[in-house]
Order: sequence, then structure tokens, then C-alpha cells
Amino acid sequence: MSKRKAPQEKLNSGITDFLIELANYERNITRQVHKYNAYRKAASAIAKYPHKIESGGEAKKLDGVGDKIAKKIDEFLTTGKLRKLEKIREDDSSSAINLLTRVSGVGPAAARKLVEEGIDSLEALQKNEHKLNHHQKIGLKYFSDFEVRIPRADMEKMQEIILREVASVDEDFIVTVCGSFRRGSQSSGDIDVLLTHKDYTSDGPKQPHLLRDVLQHLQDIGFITDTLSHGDTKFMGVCQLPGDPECAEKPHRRLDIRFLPKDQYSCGVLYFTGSDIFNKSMRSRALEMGFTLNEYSLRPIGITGIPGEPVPIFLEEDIFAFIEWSYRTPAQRNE
Amino acid sequence: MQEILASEVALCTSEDHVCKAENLLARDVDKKWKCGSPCGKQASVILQFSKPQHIGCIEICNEGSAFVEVLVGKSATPEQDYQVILVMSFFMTPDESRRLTNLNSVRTFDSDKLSKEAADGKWEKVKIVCTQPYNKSLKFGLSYIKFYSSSDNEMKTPSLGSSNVRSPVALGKRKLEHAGVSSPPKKKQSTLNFEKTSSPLLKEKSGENKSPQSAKAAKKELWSSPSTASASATPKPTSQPQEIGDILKGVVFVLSGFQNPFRAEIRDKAVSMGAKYMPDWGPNCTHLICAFANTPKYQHVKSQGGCIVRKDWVIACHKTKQKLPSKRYLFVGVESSSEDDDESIEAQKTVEEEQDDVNNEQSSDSNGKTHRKQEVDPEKDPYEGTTDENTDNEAMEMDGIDDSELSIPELPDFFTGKHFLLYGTFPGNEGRMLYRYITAFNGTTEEYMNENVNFVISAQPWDDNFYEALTENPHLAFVKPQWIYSCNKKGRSLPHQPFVVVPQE
Repeated sequence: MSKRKAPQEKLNSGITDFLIELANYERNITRQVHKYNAYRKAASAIAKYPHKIESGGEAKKLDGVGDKIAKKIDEFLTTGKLRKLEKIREDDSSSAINLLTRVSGVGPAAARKLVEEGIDSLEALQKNEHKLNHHQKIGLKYFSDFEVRIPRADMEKMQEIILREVASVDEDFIVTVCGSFRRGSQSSGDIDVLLTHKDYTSDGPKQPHLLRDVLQHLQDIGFITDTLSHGDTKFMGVCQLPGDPECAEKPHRRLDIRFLPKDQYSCGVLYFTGSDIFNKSMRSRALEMGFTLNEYSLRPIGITGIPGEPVPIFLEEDIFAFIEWSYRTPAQRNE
Repeated sequence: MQEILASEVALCTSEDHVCKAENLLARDVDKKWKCGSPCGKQASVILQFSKPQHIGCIEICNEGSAFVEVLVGKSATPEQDYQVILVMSFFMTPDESRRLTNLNSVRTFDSDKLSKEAADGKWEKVKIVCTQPYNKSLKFGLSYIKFYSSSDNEMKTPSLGSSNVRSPVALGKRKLEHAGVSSPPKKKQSTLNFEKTSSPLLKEKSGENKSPQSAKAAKKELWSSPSTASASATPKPTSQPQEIGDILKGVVFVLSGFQNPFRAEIRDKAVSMGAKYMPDWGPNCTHLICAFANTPKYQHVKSQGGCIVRKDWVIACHKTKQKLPSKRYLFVGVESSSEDDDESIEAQKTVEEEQDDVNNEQSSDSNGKTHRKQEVDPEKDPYEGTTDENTDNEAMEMDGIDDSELSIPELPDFFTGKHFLLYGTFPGNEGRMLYRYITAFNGTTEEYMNENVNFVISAQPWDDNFYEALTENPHLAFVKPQWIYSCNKKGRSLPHQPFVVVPQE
């Protein structure tokens, strides 16, 4: 799971910040994903709200803000802090777990285990490198690089390299850089690339050599610097832009490449473009219209509730058409 | 491949006065079936064969439908219990539907496109459901539909070598169907008959191979009557506890459909008992532990004849510290709801009792006691105390269900995509109960009226606010809470119309 960042905004940043902090606490420490989602939904609704929020009651009118969160907002607005959050922050182990989950490859479960073993800082982690797997070691090695968000200009440069180099391997590849970048965001956490090939369909054989050729080439030209994991259809690794002659080396960036069959490509592009909140509303729209939508396919649901055969999808627009929604460009999918 | 001819139209929801449903019997391109106007989104027709038939191949020539689904049943099968033989399949895009192009494409679905289970059975009725949501003015239907039997159906019966674990379930199930559903028309009588006639048969079976039906019984009971659920969900130990790491030695399992942290919990439990985890199904795998039917892995493993069990198996093994037979936890497919609820529960109860008797004879007293002690191992989250709303636990306690014993039943999700608004006040604790039922069946409750709301649940009589809400959202339904309770009782979605709140004159 990628480490999600707070939506960028200003007016109610105090409130959204504490909600995001609570959300991360629920995900990393208590591992209650639904609470995590609830806090994030509320934060996102408040971030969009065009006025400064004066009371919990005002916030409660927004979708996703209920009684409990409204009370927390009241507490925050009147006292300037939140007892629940203060308590969490005082707890050393929860802040240590939060810290360790920032290392790529260390999830909430691994972080808790490490903290229980007394490893509660990056220094301690470095001394205990033998306890880490390959992915986590690389996550630690590039810890500070991965913490830096990628400016849009760099994303565009990397997109250009990827498109050019993949086409040089084989003209029949199709590549899309997804994630918040595709939605037009000014900075990104990592690079999410989807790849398909004219000859690769879900009813044909797997063609891992196609992905392998691309990866080999990107390594040969020095763009991919490390591999975290590499399967038949998914690559996770690290890449780096070539540095300018006069300035220092560019930071290393997290790169994911997914190789999808052509018939599942558009559903994949839709899914990995997000946002995740948009995806949820799209999925529930699909359900209302009698379809089930996931990252692979859109299928009509039969009268007994059994999903039918995937409908043919060539473009993202087709998915919107089947569920009778007007098309939204990636930039319009930010919530 | 021999063509099967339908003898009559048993039912038709809608037909054009020229293009009647009877035309389908002619199987001629020039004799179409179209729905009459207004057509709505969906139209269906039921065709009857003169005798039970295998269906190995279906050929459909479309007439303006976007999707077509085909279901099968026997003469006595109630319509809602028909099994899907051809899942909803694609014929026209929204754009084609609006521009009236590609109205008459022909598709042939042979046995690998048909549901294996349904293709193995013999059927007297087929129900064809055509859907056209994209063009309200188009009269849609079919040009023709042809059914072919598979000539090689003797070869097709599941080979016992690879799927010997599954076939007893299938056999048992078919027996139940024959005995229960296709029996005489009088319902009361058939229930009684079934209990009497089938008990000896089932008893014999349970002695032979530990009654595969009880797995199904267990599942059903979890949904319908919590009070008896514990009896079937907690297996009785039959041997001495073993070394924990050896319990599941030799088991190689794959998980499907579980999300973290639950996924990790099941995996860790199984691994701690000596089982081996594999991310994907391979030739050396022994069990697929599945959250619900019809995941891609489920389909894959099913086609390979692998053993598919519910998570309860792992949890029960872990709790009782021994390898329990997985038969009780086998996944029974989504078709398991094909019998009438009341009948099957009655029947299962008798199976259950007999099963218990057998078990009691086998297990000694001392085992029973150690077993009970081991049950007290609530895995408490150390941080649970710091969270503010522990509704999950409270909810479990309220029903008096010991969650360590029940190990989280799988809930049906027939309210998926439905939005509810609880309006006004409800006596006592009812509001909370309703909220819980709706959430349990995967419905969404809205706190305020908005355009998503489909159902307003109200215990009070008609209210002027309802008129106001209707002008905003004409599709709203105002329903009494009894609807939700009845759905819960039946474990499936019931029509809400009998429960609507109407304006008082």
C-alpha cells in the first residue's frame, strides 16, 4: 500500500491535519481500516469546504462527518488540541510504529513487530538490517529520498523517458503513467506505470518476456536502479533521473510497473488513476446500475447476484458509458 | 450435439402483440420475441422442455438486448431459485443500443462458457432474462435461442480421481433437492414427508462419511438461527490434542478473498499449526481457504477439483488444537440457497441431532472438558482499549452470541448498493437493531435525506414530510421496519411492497 498524503489545502488545515493523523493512527496502530477510511473521507470533505469551519455542527452538514468527528472538531476549535491525539502522541510505541511504517516495505504489522523487539528508530533499524527483507533494506537505504515528493516537472521528465524507451523496445506497447500525476497534481509520492501490449490479452498465454524486455532495457540505460520485486505482471523498484552535470545527483524514486492484458487495461488505468475516494463512488454507481467494477473488469450482475461476463472495454470512456455516467477527465477525479 | 426443442412458453413478463414469446418455440430468425411497451429495463421468458434435459451448448441471436442471462430449473423449482447456467452475457454497447446498430448479433456459448454445475444437471425449464437499460423506447428481446444437449454427457460426470472431496457434497445435495423440492405440491405435507423419509437415508450417510451435508447445515444455521449455530459451528474433538506445530502438517494452503488484518491472522494461525502458505494455487496445494464463492481463485481451484474450505476450519482447528476433518467446512457454492428455507432448516436440524449423537458416542467426557477450556482464548488487541467506539464487540454481546465460538459468520449481502434512511423514532432499541441489520447485509444507511436514498424505514404512519421527499426523489419507497426483520429471518432479500407505508385518508 502506498503511503497516502493529505489533500493539499489551506482554510481548515488544522482540522484536516488532525483527522489525517487520527486516520494514520487507525491504520498503522489499531489496524482498523474502516476508521482510517472514515477519517480520511471526513478530511477530504472538509478540505473541499470553501469556508473556515467555526463549529462541529457546521462540519457535520458535510458528507462523511458524523457525531463523533463533529465533537472532535468542537474540542479542537475550543481547546486548540485533542485529548485523544495527545494521548496517542505521548505513547512512544505508537509514534515509533508510525515512524517505521514510513520505510518503504515496512507495513503496520512489521513495524509493530520491530517496535516490540525494541527497534524504535531508524538508527536502530540500521543496526538490525539483518531483520529486514530485501524490499525493506532498500526502503531504508533510500529513506530520505522516498520521503521527498516528486515535483511535477520531474514526473514529466520521467514520463518522457519511459514513453520513449518503452517504444524503442517495441512500438506495440501502450504506456500510461497513472496515480495523482495523471490527475494533474503538482507533486507525486511515487510513479505508477501501467503497461500493455497489442498482443497480450487475458484469454491468451501470459507473456512475461514482454515485461522482462522492458525492464532489462530500463536497467541498461540506468533509469531503473534497484528491484524490490519482479513477477510476471508486476514490477516494484527504484528509478532515478540522470543528474545535471552541474548539480548534485537526483533523488531516487519509487517506481511500480504493472503489465496488464489489453482487455483489462482501461479498468486498470481507471483504478490506478484514482483517487481512491473517486474509485469508491464510481464502484457504488456501478452497483446502483447493476454492475460490479474492479481493477480488471466491469461485469453486469445477473438476477441472482452472480456477476456476468466482463463487458468489452476499450477506453475509460466505455466504463462511464456502461454505467451511464458522464465522462470525467482524470483532473476531475480528485475526490 | 442434438438440438433440444422447447415445448411451450411457461411464463413471459412482457410481449409485443406481434412478436410474441411463442415465436421463440419456432427458433426462426424471422419469428422474434420482443417485449411489449412500456418495456422497462428487463424482460424475461420461461420455456418448458417436454422432459428433463442436459444443456451443453446455447446459441442466441439477439434482438436489441444489451445483456442476456439464462437460468435453469426443474418443474417444481420456485422461480427465484433457478440456477444460472449462462451468466449475464454481453450483446450490445450503450452506444449501439442508442444508435440501433448491431441489434442482431449471434453468439454461441459452449460448455466451457456455461456454469459447470448447471451444465451437469438435467432441467425442464429455462428462464431467459434480457436487459436493455440504455434505450427506453427500444422493444428488445431475442430473435431466437437454441439449446443443444451435449452428446458426450456420460463422459462429463466429474472424474472421481481429482474431485472426490467435492462429489459427495454434490451427490448429497442432489438427493436433498429430489427429496425436498420436487416432492408433492402441498407444502406442509412435503415438509413432513421429507423429514421422515430422508432421515434414515441421511443417517446412513453420516455414518459412512461424516455427513457432508452438515457443512451446509452449519452455514445455513449461522444465518438463520444463532441459538442453534454453536452446536454445529463448534466441532467436537475426536482425538487427543497434538503438538501445535504438527496439527496441520502437510497442509499447503492458499487464501482468497480475505483482507488484512484478517488475512494475516488466518495465515499466521494456519502457519503456526504447521501448514504451509502459498500465494497462488499450484499442484502441491491441498486447501483453498476462501472468504466467499466466485473469487477468481475459487473458480480456478474448483475447476482443478481442489478442496475449498471456509476460514472457520482453520479457526476451529486452532481452537481445538487438532486437525478437524475439513468436510464440515467445505465451501458450498452460492447455489446452496436453492431449497426452500424452512424445509431445509427443519431437515438439517434432524441431521444435526443425529450427528451430535454420533459424535457424543465417539468423544469421551474428558475430551469434552479440555475442549471447553481451550475455548477461552480471546485474542485481544492490546490497543483496543484506546479506541473510542468498540461497536463490534458490543454488537456481538447484545445478541448473546459468544464470538469466540461463532468465529464471525459470513453474512449475505443482499442490500448491497441500497441506501436507507431511518426516519423518526423507533420504540426501544429498534433503531439500533435496524441499523445493524442493514449494515450486516451490506446496505448503506444515510443520516440525512439525499438523492442516494432508496428506502425510508419508518415505524410511524405516513407523514407530510414524505410528500416533500417524494417531490425531490420520486423513486423513494417508505417501508415499515418489519420488512428488514423479515429479510433477516429469511436470510435473503424480500420484496418490500407488502411492507410499504401508505398515506392515510
